[in-house]
Amino acid sequence: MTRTPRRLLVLLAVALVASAALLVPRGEEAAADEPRPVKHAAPGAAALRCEPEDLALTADGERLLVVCPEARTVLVLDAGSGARLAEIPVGEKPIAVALHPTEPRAYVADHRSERVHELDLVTNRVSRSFPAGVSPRGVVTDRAGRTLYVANARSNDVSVIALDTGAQVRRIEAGHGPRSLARSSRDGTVFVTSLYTLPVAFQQPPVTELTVLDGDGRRLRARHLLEGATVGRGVAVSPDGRLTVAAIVRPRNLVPMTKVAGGWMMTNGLAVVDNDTGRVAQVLLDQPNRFFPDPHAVVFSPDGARVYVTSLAGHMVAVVDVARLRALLAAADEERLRDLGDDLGASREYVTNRFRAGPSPSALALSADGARLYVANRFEDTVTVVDTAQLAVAATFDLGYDPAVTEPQWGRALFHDARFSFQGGLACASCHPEDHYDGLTYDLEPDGLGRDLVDNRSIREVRDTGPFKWNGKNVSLSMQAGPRAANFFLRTTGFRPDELGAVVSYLESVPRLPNPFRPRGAPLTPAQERGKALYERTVDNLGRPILPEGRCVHCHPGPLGTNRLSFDVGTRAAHDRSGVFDTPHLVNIADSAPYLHDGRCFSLEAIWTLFNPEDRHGVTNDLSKSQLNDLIEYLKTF
Amino acid sequence: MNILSTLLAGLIAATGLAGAGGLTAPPGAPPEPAAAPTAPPTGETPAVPDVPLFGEWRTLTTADGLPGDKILYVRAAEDAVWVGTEHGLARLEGDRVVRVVGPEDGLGHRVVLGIAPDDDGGVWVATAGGLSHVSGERVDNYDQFVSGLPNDVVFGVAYCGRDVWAATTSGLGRYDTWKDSWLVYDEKNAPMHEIWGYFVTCAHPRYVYAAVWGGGVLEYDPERDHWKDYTDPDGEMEIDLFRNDGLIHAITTSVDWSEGILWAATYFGLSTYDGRDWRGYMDHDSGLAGNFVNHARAVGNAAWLSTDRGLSWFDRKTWVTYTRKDDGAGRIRIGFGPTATFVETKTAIAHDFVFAVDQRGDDLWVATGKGLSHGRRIDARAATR
Repeated sequence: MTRTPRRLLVLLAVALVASAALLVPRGEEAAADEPRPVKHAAPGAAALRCEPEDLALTADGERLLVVCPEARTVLVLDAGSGARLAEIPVGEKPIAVALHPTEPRAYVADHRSERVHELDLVTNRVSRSFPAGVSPRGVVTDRAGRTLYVANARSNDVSVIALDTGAQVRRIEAGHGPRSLARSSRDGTVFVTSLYTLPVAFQQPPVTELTVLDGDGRRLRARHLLEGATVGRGVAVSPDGRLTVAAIVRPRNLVPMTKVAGGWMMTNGLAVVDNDTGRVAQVLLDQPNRFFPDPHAVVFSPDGARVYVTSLAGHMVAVVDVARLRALLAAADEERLRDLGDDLGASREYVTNRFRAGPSPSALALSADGARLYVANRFEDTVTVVDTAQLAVAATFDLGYDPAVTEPQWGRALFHDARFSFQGGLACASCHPEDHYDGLTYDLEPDGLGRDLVDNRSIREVRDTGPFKWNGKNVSLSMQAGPRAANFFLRTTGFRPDELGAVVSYLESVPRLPNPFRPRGAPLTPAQERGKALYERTVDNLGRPILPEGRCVHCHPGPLGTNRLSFDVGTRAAHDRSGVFDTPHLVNIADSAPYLHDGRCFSLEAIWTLFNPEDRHGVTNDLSKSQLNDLIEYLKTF
Repeated sequence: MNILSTLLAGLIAATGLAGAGGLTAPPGAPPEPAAAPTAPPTGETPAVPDVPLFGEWRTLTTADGLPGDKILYVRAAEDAVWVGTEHGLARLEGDRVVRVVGPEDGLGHRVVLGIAPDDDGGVWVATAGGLSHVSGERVDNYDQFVSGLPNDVVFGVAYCGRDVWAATTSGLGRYDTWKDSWLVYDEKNAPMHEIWGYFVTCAHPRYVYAAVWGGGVLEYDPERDHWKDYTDPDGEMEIDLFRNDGLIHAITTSVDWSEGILWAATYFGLSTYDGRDWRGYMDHDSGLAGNFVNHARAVGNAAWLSTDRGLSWFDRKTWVTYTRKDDGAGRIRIGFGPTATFVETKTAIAHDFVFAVDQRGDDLWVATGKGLSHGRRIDARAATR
């Protein structure tokens, strides 16, 4: 080729690239791929942070409540200037807030307890506390302000609290891990999302429940079973009450994780309920080659024309055009409706914008006129105020906590960042939401496709429980979260060494949650005492000696419930290459169904009633039903 | 029947005490038939006592969408009627079957033996394959392998708010729904002479009552964690030696409580208990349709007794018994013996073998071996002969 054509080709290439840049629609930005600057605290120094989890804007638009779980406070800010008006200490771990519909009061769910707290917004103090279920996660009142509904994440129910007396009048069974609530202003209906799948048969798609309550009547109205969905989080009801949307994840855990590279591991979107017809659809917010990981907070504009949705791991906010979404769903027959949950290209029909937010936008609040959208940025301790007409940042409120982060705090932020994954498809927290797990079984590539299916495990209190991985081959968390994660989960180069160190610091810092079956300091109940005796017994019911390896306490000793060794306990399945597995710890075991290495058992009982025919997983076949129940009661105390 | 009871019965017969109130006929002899009903002279309008009567029966079967014709249980909830059959569970609105639930939907077993509505429009279901909870679209099953349920064969269930009780063939299970925890009560921790639970109810504001096959009636006080048993003072004897000395028989099938009266159904008669005195009733000396009482359902100050020979109603003063004639018409007998009066109705319950019954206001549903009969309160004077 002569020099002139070569120059022309170069010029042409430059022109093409420049043209492509001009074609990017204004305002539609992908999630940040570049790391944000982080200020690190001095080694060993503490850093008090907020890590905002929820927002509420008072009806007059004057005050913004910000829930700070890490600081154990609720901030009251001037909604116009961001000035701090009050800082209210609230409980052990405030995590969600709801305003009283008519009076200057707010209600805060306290996740590390079994209580909710009422805030007096005149005195800016906690005025009352009410008993609720285990680990309250979300709150909302009824329309009249007479009843408070509390989603209890770990007792799988909703507390119904009469606000005049503060008494818990009843509980309504909800899904698995109830999380967030929203109320319809049209008829008072309350919708409750759930984080985890209901029990399903082995190797079947997950099913999560969207519970519908008669909010005025304190009763269940319906249960929508969302097939293929999990991690139900933020939920909102349109102002006219006709539509309910809930953030969901549609995991593809039944296919091998090689599909991360193909862009088909975690897909993310919304469940959409037509409240007039009861029709339920699932739509995606992802795009081909660019995902919307961990949809989190959801809010309708006051005119019902838009839905704003945050991506916790993608650091962005999507704007959904409700009219276009409704039109798409109305035109869809049942087959198309089913396909929409898998259609990565469909979002172009109804997502009009995706704009960048701060690190991990966790909550939204909208002014009554819809002009100002408040976005809480969890790992920046800021609230961004967005001019919704321009979709531009109008202001940023600094919440006033330590600007520096400790290593674990930084690690937590990295754990929730999808930029480390191929096409921004997922973050570590996508499979371990809420500092826990997603309750699913996965097929990891390094073990061979279709082989060695593994149950996802909680990250609570894993610090001293190595080695890791069900086959025990990862001796440390660095190995677990480092190259292995990069190669087989994230499909990228993974974390830098300092980032990996921070992620490990975070993992080592995740505590267990308070155990409702044995509150701290409480003695064992009679059933738990009997169960403990069985756990430690050395002879069976006929007086025959039980060899050490047949005793529960042999492999599962101590407060963590593991001796950190590997054994073959007869649980090998046809898809397993080996039957030797690392002994899992038992911390918060009641919260981490399903069980066994491949998640075959959705209950503790089944471990021994169905999968221990030869007494290789402890000598248990001589136990009566009562004895097995007692053993289970003891196990639940871990 | 053991030797002692044979000898004793013979002695009683020899002394001429047989036939006195409280004693049965000698062993081996056929039971004395219930007093033959007498119809008033033709043309005269019978004087009908002022008791609620039901008629205008309509029977539903598989032709109407029920999953089976043998109806083992029925419960009327606030806005629906739930029907347990040998082939699944059905939900009715009016006389219309609106939903059928079977094992393919997650129900523990096709044989439905008991139903207890919850507070949210759903039901807990006792099946031959576990305890199921039908709530909205969800059907969850608790069986002995995946939960703390004592045994998969569940004969009865009671919904008590936070607790759900299951009467199983291996004892009683108590499920704390708030804590997802189970307790099992059997001979080791309750006065269960037999552990075959047949029925359980929390109709009493404080106590839980259970009927145990061969074990009598058990009363449990949750506040004190205390059990009390009521058994047949005649022990293992198959005769009722002294009437009104206690529970009439230990093979109890069902218990219910209302307005201070405990009703205990047994396979050998009926007992009532007012907290102090027991009264026993059998078919040969009362208006009870038959001694084989499958089920007792208390409503107000009265109870419906489902027997193998018809359906009886009793308010501890007046007996009313419903049977079906061979021509398909119905007969209502009010009272018993020579003073009984009769009302003939054009329609009847589907069959005299009655498994269970429930009433809601002026509607009555009767579970029979040949379908579910739905009757309405009628004006006896308007009924035709």
